[in-house]
Amino acid sequence: MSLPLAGLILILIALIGGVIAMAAFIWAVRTKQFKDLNAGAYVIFDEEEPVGKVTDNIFGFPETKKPPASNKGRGKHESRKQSP
Amino acid sequence: MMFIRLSTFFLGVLATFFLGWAGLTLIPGIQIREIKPSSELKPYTDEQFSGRAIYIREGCIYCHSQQTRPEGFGADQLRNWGRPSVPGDYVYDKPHLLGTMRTGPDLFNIGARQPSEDWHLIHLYNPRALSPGSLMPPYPWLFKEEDEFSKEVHAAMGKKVVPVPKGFAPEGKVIIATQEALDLVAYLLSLNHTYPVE
Amino acid sequence: MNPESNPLKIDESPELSARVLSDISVSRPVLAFFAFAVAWLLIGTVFGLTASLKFNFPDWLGSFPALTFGRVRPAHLNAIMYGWVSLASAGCAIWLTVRLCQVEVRWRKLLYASVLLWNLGLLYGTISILTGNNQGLEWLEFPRGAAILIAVAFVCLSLSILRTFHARQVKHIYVSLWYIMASVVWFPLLYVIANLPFYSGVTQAAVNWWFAHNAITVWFTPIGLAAAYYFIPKVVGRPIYSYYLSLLGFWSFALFYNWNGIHHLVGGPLPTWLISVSIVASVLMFIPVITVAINHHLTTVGHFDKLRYSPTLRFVVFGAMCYTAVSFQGSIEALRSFSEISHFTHYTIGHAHLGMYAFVTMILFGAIYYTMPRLTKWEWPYPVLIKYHFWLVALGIGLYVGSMTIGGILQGLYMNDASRPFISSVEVTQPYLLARSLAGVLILIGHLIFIYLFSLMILRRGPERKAPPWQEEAEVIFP
Ligand code: HEC
Repeated sequence: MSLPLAGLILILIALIGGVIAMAAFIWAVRTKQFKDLNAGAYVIFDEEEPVGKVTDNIFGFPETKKPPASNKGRGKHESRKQSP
Repeated sequence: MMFIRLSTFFLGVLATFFLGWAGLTLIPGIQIREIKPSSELKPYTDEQFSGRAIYIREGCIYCHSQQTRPEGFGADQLRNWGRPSVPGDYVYDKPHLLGTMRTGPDLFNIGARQPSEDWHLIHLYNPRALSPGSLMPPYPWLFKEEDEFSKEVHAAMGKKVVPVPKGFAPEGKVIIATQEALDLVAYLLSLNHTYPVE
Repeated sequence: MNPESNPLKIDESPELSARVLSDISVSRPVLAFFAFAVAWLLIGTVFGLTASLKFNFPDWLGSFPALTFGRVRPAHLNAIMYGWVSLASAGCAIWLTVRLCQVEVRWRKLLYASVLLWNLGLLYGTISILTGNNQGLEWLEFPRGAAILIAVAFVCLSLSILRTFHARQVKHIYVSLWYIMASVVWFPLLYVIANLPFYSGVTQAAVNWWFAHNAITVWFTPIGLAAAYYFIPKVVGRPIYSYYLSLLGFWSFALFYNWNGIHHLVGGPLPTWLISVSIVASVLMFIPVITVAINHHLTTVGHFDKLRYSPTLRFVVFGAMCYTAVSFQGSIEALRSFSEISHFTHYTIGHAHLGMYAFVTMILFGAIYYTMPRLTKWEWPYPVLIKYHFWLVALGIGLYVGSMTIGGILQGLYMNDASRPFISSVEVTQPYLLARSLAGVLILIGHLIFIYLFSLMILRRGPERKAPPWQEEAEVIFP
């Protein structure tokens, strides 16, 4: 198959794909598929790392060991074994 | 639902991609395909072709372009670098060497601008021997150093002695161009697209 | 020292959350990708600095063919693009995928195969360039064999990621996943099409620049954005500002960015309409860029104090801001009146580094700072060194882009002024090229610090720091 012919076929596929995409998009909006869209923004949080919890702040802590200031919100499985 | 949404997603992803591909490479490819080589353009000779391979190997493309721009876009015309290049000038070029950088001057018509083989050989051996302040790299491995007294012998043996100015070659040595250097210069001299086109 | 020597074992507990489980399932492959990425970062940086110094001292190491500028420069580009950035992006993409799909990684063996083939390809390709076996096309210098290895490696990566995605346990697909899924489909297609052997002349030039720009479009940028879309809200602890905007941003990105490449050939011997189309698309890039900028900014706003505490946030926010900057710069650069000056000059080099370093690389650093403690269950030792790393590379890249921008514009103005000899456009750039080398030194030192820290992490060495402190003390500092 020559290059231009292959290309024309691909353009056609692309165009058909585009039309399908358009149709699907209109359908999705009409049938309120996007209603709970904003919920997607929350999937990165869970019970142990809920909204409002900062998950990286190591500059705020001293380099050497020191007893934890509080045990609040401490995840069971991610805590490390105490060294002897 | 999810399935429809997802297949639409991947279809959309493919569609945007292939639309760009078709528009930027395919359609122009078809348009350019019909273009014939410029009337006076000749295919490369074996020597020029090997020289071209050295041009690629040494990465001259990272400092030199091979495309001349029209009047009103840059100073190519005012600097007499040659008429604007057209697609027909490049039909024998594979890979293309259009380039995107002009740390050094455009070389599309260097064969017309600088037709001296000796100049090119010296310049390749050490650019600063001819162009003070140049930051082009030297290419000494395209040359051999041999003892001075055998100059005539070299010439008799058909070796090309490069007239490097004093102070740029080691004392008591002459610089001999290797076949690679000669090929590269043959290629540079073939870069002459000053013939007219419509 | 922790009595437990196996770095990857943690308490087997039925309560293990999906997040922790998925982290464990990928830790080895992701560590492998990161470790090789860091190795290529060092190699690539050394090549880059060598190439830069060659501009200042053209006769330095002038008699070694393998170290001539025209070979070291492509070696630098390929080691960084296909080595550091690609491998680190791949690691980051795998990690984000399992986290966001909340499943264990699938087809893990393919990932190991991918790392292996990738590195073989890189090694073969880089050595080929240095020994003079080069395809002669910018961004596609690797000889065919190396290209095939890398393509296969990439397909392995894509398959594993797509299979994992298919097995996902979440209802909502997070925006980062859109970018990742799109790019693992796009890039193998792009790479294979661009490496096909039947182009020549100006058509090949069009394919070449369609590829080179699209490599950024479909691989480096989407992964960088995916990471920013995850890490900014995750570290700050606040959902992304507008999900609708990110949807709009994604599709306009996919639609316009694919058309940008040919502006690299402005003024060249190609049909004018083609270059015009590319310019229009480049300008339309304002839309996706603004949506992303608004989204990232409004998520961070009010939380800028957290940059003081979080290395991840620092690097990622820096990168996200540079994404906005580099995109605006790109849109403007594509305009004919501006590119008449900037085209063919060092300005473009500055632009490329603003994109691939200040944006992508900085975000990848941030991603690595976040993921490593979760992968090795070991906290970063010596936070102060992380600060040095940040400031060295931030200042370094600032100086780099600044000097190339000014030097490039002067170079362009002198080049376009026919009353000046050409050599004046070379001479005027000299001080800026020297500044660029200085920037390269700063960046190299920063990288050495980073590599030192990274090695400590892999070996779980250095002073033991309390169990990842964000676990227990976060609320104390940020009530
Ligand atoms: C580091 C960038 C760089 C590289 C790589 C480079 N050049 Fe140059 N070149 C320059 C500069 C700068 C000039 C202008 C000053 C001069 O004449 O040396 C130049 C000038 C030239 C000229 C003279 C142009 C004229 O109009 O007078 C030729 C011919 C040339 N180079 C050929 C080559 C070839 C062949 C190679 C590859 C083997 C090469 N250059 C590699 C930077 C470079």
